Amino acid sequence: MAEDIYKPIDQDIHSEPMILQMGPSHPATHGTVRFTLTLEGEKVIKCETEVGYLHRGFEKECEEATWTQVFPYTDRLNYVSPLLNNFGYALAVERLLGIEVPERCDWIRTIMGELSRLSDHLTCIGAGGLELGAMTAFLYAIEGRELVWDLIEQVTGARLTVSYGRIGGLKDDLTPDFAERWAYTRERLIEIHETTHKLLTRNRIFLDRMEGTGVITPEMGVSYGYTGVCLRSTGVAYDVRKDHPYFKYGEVDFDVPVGKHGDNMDRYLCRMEELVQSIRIIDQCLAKMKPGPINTDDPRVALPSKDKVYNTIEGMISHFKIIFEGVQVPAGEVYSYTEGGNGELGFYIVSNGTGKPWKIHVRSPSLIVMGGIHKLFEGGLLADIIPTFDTVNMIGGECDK
Amino acid sequence: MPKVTINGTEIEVEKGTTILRAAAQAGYEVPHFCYHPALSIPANCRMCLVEVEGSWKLQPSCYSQVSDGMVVNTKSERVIKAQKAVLEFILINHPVDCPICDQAGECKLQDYYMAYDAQESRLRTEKTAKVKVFPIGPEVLYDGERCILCTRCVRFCEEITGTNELTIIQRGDAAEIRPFPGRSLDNPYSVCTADICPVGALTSRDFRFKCRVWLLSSTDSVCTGCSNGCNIHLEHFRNEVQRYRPRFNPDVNDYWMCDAGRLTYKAIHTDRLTRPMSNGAELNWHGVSGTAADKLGRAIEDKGTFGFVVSPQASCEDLFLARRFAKEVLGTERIYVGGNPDGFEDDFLIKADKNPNTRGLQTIFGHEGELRDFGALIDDIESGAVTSLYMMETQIPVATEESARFVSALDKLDLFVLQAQHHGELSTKAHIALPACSHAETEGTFVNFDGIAQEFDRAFAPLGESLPHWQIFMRLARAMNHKLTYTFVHQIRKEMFEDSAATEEASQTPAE
Amino acid sequence: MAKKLIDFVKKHFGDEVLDAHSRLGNDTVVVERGRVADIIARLRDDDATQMNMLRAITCVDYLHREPRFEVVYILYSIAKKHMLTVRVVVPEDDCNVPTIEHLYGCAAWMEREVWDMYGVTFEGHSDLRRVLLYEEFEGHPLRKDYAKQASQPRLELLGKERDSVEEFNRYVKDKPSEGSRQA
Repeated sequence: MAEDIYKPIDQDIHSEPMILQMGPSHPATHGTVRFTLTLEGEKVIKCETEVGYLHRGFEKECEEATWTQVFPYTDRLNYVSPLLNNFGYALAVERLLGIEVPERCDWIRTIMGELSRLSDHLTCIGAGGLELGAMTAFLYAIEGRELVWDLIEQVTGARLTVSYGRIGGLKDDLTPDFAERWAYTRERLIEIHETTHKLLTRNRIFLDRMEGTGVITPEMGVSYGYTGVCLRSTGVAYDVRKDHPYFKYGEVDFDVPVGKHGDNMDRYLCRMEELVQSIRIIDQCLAKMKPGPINTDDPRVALPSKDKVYNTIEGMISHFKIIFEGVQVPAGEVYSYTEGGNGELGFYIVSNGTGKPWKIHVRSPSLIVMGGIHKLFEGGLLADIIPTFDTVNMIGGECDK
Repeated sequence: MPKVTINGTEIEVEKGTTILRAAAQAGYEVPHFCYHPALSIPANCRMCLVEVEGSWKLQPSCYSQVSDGMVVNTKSERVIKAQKAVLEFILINHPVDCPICDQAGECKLQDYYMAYDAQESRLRTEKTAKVKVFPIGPEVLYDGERCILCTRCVRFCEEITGTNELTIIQRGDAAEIRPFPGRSLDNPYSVCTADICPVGALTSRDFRFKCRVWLLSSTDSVCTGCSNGCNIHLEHFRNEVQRYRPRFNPDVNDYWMCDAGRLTYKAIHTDRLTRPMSNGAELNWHGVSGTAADKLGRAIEDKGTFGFVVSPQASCEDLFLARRFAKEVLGTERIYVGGNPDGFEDDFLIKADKNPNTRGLQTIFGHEGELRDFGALIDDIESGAVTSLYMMETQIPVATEESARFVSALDKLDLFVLQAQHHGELSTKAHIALPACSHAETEGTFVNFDGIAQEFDRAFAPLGESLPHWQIFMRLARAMNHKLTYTFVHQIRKEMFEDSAATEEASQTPAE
Repeated sequence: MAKKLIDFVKKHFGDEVLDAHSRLGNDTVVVERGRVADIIARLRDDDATQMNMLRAITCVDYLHREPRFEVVYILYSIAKKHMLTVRVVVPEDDCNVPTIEHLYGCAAWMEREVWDMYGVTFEGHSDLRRVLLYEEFEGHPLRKDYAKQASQPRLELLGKERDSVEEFNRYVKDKPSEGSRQA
């Protein structure tokens, strides 16, 4: 393949490998990561990855905040799909507390989670196209993302840093016109999906750059801890939503696309198909859900309504203690995992029985992907780094915590 | 020794133990408001009711004593219902004051509601209104609406201080705590009633609205108001002491401390000398060490006239190094005792000696004739027998006219070095003023009037550029080419205890 | 799920197991650190368990307890869909654990992260250096005795302090003027 073109020239010219810094701020890598590449001509023979430019001390900060105060920090992990982080964390704490949330809360969490997944995949596909030169595809994808963010903003109040999840429930119910707005949004999203397919999937340049590059073998994927789309593109059908259903994923029909070659093209196609599947999930959820409460009424967790807080001492004490001391989570530890935008997002939480976490560890799929990414680059061309890095969708906030 | 089974756990207790104490021994908390280990048991709040097998009615566990073979359940359905009922009744007329109540964060009602009640209010009428800011005493305010009439304060005034100021007036839902006509809650321990009040009915005027309690960090320390050495929780926020709260010590102060001692925390942040000064000009440590070393060196050559004032306000470790500095570096034999003059004394906790470490000072400078009276110092300066003076702390143990004499006599001195916490007349007169830090900013030991040595911990870093006394002595010694090297307080402590034979009798460490 | 994973570990490595429980649905074994690499290798390779995925390696600092640290390995089997948490007790003064870098590709970076944040070394690790923080960072921040507001020393650039503003000014001053526009 690529090596064949180069071999004869290598034999004639005495050359040294060149060390190139693909430094932390690079226009074609979305996220601050530094690669020290050793190049022989255009071929990457060694790659050293350096992450941590966005390390903000998430885990240390969480140890000094109450359980509920951690939610804004979780927003800023995978910041293109913040709702998935919120709900993943809420699920972990609810397991430690041993409380069940009402059904409607689970339906809404599924819907909002899938909206976040739409946002994540649209960003990845769009940015991927952009970095390969397809500006139009990028603009379409971003239009789709804007529509999704409009919906999210209507429900949660913010586009990106939403802090919508709560322990034992949610901040607020869906807006009354949510179904209507979704009906419009989904039409446009399906159009965007089709258009992007037309623009990219059979585009000669796109195919040449994406097919056969950044190949992950199933063994390498599993060994290097890859999950999510990266692993599914290799043919290993592992999706937390199917294998260990949580929220309402067990009650809706959806397919999980699985690739064959493990190259960039397969990851792109998987994400494109997951867009369609997410839309399918949201449709079914909206059809099946019924009105009801969205927050648990467990007195250890639930804040009383404001009129009770201001007018009764019981409500006042309850609100006061839960806010200032935090929800008292029984001592113990739990590892709770959900399907994030990039793979299995796990929260390993240790509680010492008080209102503040003792430890929260985020099993961030992006950091683990970066651990093995040198194997995807080495042996390939310099130009292949761009599509590979795009399709694995490393999000800086999640990688560096 | 009777055996009792509590929640399935069998334990053996002393005869006469109440069920509540036995449950605590077995590791089970029984909620209570009116019971206090140091006061008599009225059993009026009914929060501690537990189920005793064989008895149809629930028993107040604070009062009932265990009998051999008794089976107790503190978590049965009946007990839980009773706890919810008691809390509901107490909360019916309780005002919705948490946002403005000082007790929030350390309030028994809040804690027990979350742990044992957690039910919504069933009240559909107005709550009873009472006077909310009643000045019940010069240091304490009373809020009638918050009061749950547990009578801890009334019993405190009857049994601990013996002053009998308080009583309950009116009855039913109009009942309140008031002082007897013509009286006021003005005994010297009045703020202790605010400590023991389980709710925010009695609050300290000094601490009112000052700081929320969950923001406070607590350090174990010792009060420096008098030689009783009451153990305290020194509570601080952002490197500023907000209040003292008594710490339980059965050998020294039990659960109590006096109001005057409580207010001594203000001295830690008032008029502090925080930078080394020389004749009114601020310097840094590097500069002043050199200057001090020069001046002291020259003064020492003039043998026989160097006076050294040690203070019973300083810790044992500070004084140990003061002794080494005075003897080895300055070579002086003239050691005078400073400190606060005597004051009010009573038969409970307040001692006349208003210095925390007099016994410690006497133990360290234990040899015959080593210590001289402060009055003698004033005479010596005036007569010229002392021409250079190194003084620890600014307190002077003489009456006002005498202290005025002292201050004017200072003009006669060739060299006056002051090592103290506070600004004042003396620091402006000093040729060199070295900033020392308070007991809140270092660790150390005080020996109280009874000979009990008590350690205190460090709450925050020394303010400004001040340093503990012992570190200042070390710096000057080093600048004068003497070796006094210690890195940690415990090294000094070890040497101190090994060194002085007399400290063996004073080495009883207090209960934590 | 059930206890069959715990039973498996106890059967083959009974001597190493200090404790085992299934609280909150997470099967957990606490083992001695000496043979943790063997235990995990067996869990990975044995047909009965097939724990081919290493989900996470992390560490918990129980500050006022001796031994202070516990390194936590979370293993998963994609085929059999079961999970096991293996915890290894690590005392503070002998803060190291054998590496499992050779068993899973992702273990290399996960162990680097534990070293970075907690200071637990992994014996046999080929490249144990910091991953999220810079090399010159002092201390291990997720330890409970590391104050959140602790400050780090300034780094010297290339062995001497370089004031970039000063350098720029000098450059501008020395640069020959090229018909600059003076309005």
